[in-house]
Amino acid sequence: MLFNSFVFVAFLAIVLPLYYGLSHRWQNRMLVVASYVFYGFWDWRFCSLLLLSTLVDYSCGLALSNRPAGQRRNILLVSLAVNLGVLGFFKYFNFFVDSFRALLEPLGLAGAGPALDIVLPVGISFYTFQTLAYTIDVYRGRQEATRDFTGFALYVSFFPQLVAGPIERSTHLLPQLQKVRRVDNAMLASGAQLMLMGYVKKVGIADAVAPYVNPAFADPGAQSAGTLLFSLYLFALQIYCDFSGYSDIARGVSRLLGIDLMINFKQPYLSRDITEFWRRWHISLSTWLRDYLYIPLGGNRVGSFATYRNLMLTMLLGGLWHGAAWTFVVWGGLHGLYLAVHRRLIAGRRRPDLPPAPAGPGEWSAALLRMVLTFNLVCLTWIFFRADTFPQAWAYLTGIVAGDPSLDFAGRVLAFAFFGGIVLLLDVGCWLEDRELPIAPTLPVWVRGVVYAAAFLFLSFVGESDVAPFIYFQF
Amino acid sequence: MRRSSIFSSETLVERPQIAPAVWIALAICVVFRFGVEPLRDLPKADRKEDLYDFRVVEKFFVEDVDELPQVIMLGSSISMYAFVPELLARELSLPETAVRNLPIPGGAPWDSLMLLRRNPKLLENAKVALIDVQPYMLNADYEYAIPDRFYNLASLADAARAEGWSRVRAVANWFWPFVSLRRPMRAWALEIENRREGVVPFKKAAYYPMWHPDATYPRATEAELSEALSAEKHRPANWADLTLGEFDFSERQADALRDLLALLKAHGVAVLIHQPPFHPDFYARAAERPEERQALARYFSFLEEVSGDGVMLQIWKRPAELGFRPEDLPDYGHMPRRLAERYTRTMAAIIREKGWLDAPAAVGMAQPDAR
Repeated sequence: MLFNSFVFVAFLAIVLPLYYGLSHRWQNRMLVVASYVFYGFWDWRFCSLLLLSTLVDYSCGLALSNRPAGQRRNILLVSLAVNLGVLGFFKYFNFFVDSFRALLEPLGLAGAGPALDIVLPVGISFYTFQTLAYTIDVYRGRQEATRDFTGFALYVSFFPQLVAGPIERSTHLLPQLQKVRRVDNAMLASGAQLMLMGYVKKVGIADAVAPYVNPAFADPGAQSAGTLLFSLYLFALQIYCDFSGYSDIARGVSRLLGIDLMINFKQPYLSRDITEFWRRWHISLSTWLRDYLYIPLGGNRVGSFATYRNLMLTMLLGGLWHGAAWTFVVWGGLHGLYLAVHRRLIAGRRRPDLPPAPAGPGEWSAALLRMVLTFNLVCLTWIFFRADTFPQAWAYLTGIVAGDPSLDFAGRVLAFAFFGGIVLLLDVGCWLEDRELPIAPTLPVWVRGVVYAAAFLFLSFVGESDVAPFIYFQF
Repeated sequence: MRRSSIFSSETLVERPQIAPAVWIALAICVVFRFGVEPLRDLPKADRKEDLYDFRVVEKFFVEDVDELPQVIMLGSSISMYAFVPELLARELSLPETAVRNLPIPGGAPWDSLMLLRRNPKLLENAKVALIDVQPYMLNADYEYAIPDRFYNLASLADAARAEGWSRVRAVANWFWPFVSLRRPMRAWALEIENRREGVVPFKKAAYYPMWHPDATYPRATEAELSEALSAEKHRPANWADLTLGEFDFSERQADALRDLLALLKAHGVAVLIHQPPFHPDFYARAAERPEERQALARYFSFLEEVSGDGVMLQIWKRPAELGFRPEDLPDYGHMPRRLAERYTRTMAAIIREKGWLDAPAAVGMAQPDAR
């Protein structure tokens, strides 16, 4: 079931009133059923995977809480083996078999190894990481094992964030599911605004930009350099609006239910360096990788070389998390390289997680230059993220650098200016004032009214009519 | 379990209220809703939007032409390919502007009815209407198969007559025209970027048949036509399965055809309902399957029911009846130019023979000799 479908609107129209009328315990039961219905709309058979993950980690959590230290490690390994085994089978089996075949081909052993027709269950990477985080946190003693099975089942399957995040931590989401929720008008208003803005990003921008991007990547050799460059910029907008739009809708729906999900995006294209970019982009994944991979590898407390190695390993695996293809590994590798170089450049200097807004004209100029540079560096990596194969990525890259210089890309420049302008309008205020909602509650009432109407009209009459799935569902 | 443990009002701690800013937004939307009503009729710039075909016909072949036609052709793409209008005009000794080919690709009687209702000037001087028919037009599965047209053109009464989800969407669209007023930014931007020279200002019009010299997109020579038209679904046997299999007779399209004929009759227009010859494989396939045979019989019996009383019915079942060879048809029934010329001359001969253009009014004309 897609957020941007009428079926989802109908689904929500049933779930919300029911939810408000039920007691806490029944709310959770109803939400579990609703979440399985939501997930089953793609393929009901995959609900069994969701249930398996729930049963395994619920049991492992309980087992971890009452076993001696010597056995705890084995229990954690069971959880890791089951979760990563399922993920590995569905997502990476053919990838590794194909890679293995490619390795054997020079030895004349082509054709070795089985190939299975495996359908990737939607959102499996997201809920696998979420359940794993719970078991690891219980193992580390940061989270108490829950005995509330319904609450835990809801933690794993909670429909707003089930298929594309944010990847929640049990320490943040589980307590909210286990207590009585309170919803006031401020929460309803902010939830509704998040949903509206999410839909504007997804339907009004991301889907509208796709027709520019798709032909450019389908046949980069046939495009001019300018067309390729601006299609790449447009893809940067598309992936941001598609994914952050989903996160906004997920957070908005959750807030209507009285549940607060973590912020997943904080105006990433206004980052002044790559480290800041990763503190603003897909925050729930980057912090997951930091806490459950980078730090256990030793983080930055193990000497320079090991720190760079850890950064690189973390980003390579982060790339692989996105998809079973070497292009994603290169995407992660490039980001690892950027982060390592940036770490080297700022060696020894302490800096806040998110630097404050610039003060004077000099700082502003420098900040703008750095934003443009960072944006272009990130765009370079998007080529590998979006391309299906290396030859395609290479053709795209060389096409930008040495392609046909004809000036046939005015439409794409206009589109980038238009859609980029809307993204800026949505993001700049939040960036300057470090706030969550694009339409500040401090604005005069009539201004808010006009902006709400403009957003709704834009969505109704300028947005795409075709229901396009969210890009991150495939991960 | 006690009832009180299931239900509770503990979650909503306040009575939900609509904020003043939302009232303002609602007021703007209401004003917008009525203010933009005329925009419904703007042609859509995107070929993907199906209203585009209807509006191209309506705007560039009806609204922008001052001369009143005497002979109009209505129906589907079959008519688009079956007639050479300037040849028909010559054969009937009429000026070219007096013959107007106005079928809507993928059209059904409802579309033709809308075209005439919205453009009464088409009937002011009309003496003859040639309406092509084929089974899909009366199959409920194809009813409003082009929903974009339906949502744009339907009155509230039309919307209420649709069924199921179509009705919900159509009525909702009447109140908040989220389908009929939608113009995706992409469509406008792509149109600006990708302009093509062509016959009509909206450059990508596929209104002319592919063999026509003015066809802009897509275009095919006669030799290429078969390949261009014979998409899987348009192959004769597939087309039979698609349009006759699981045939659910559409009362709404049947009513639309009756209303269309009544409208033409009221204006004294002689009507020839015709079905050009289809590829023999179409009928062969239908003969193989009982449900398709029944569907075809239902279709023909309905056509007989509406014919008579000033409406002539002419159905050519075999290409040989008109001297065509089956292999001349590039798909189930669209014609290449050579056949279109012959078909046009045949139709001109019928019109001359019946004297429809001579009569001051067609009401009360001689009973047509059907088939």
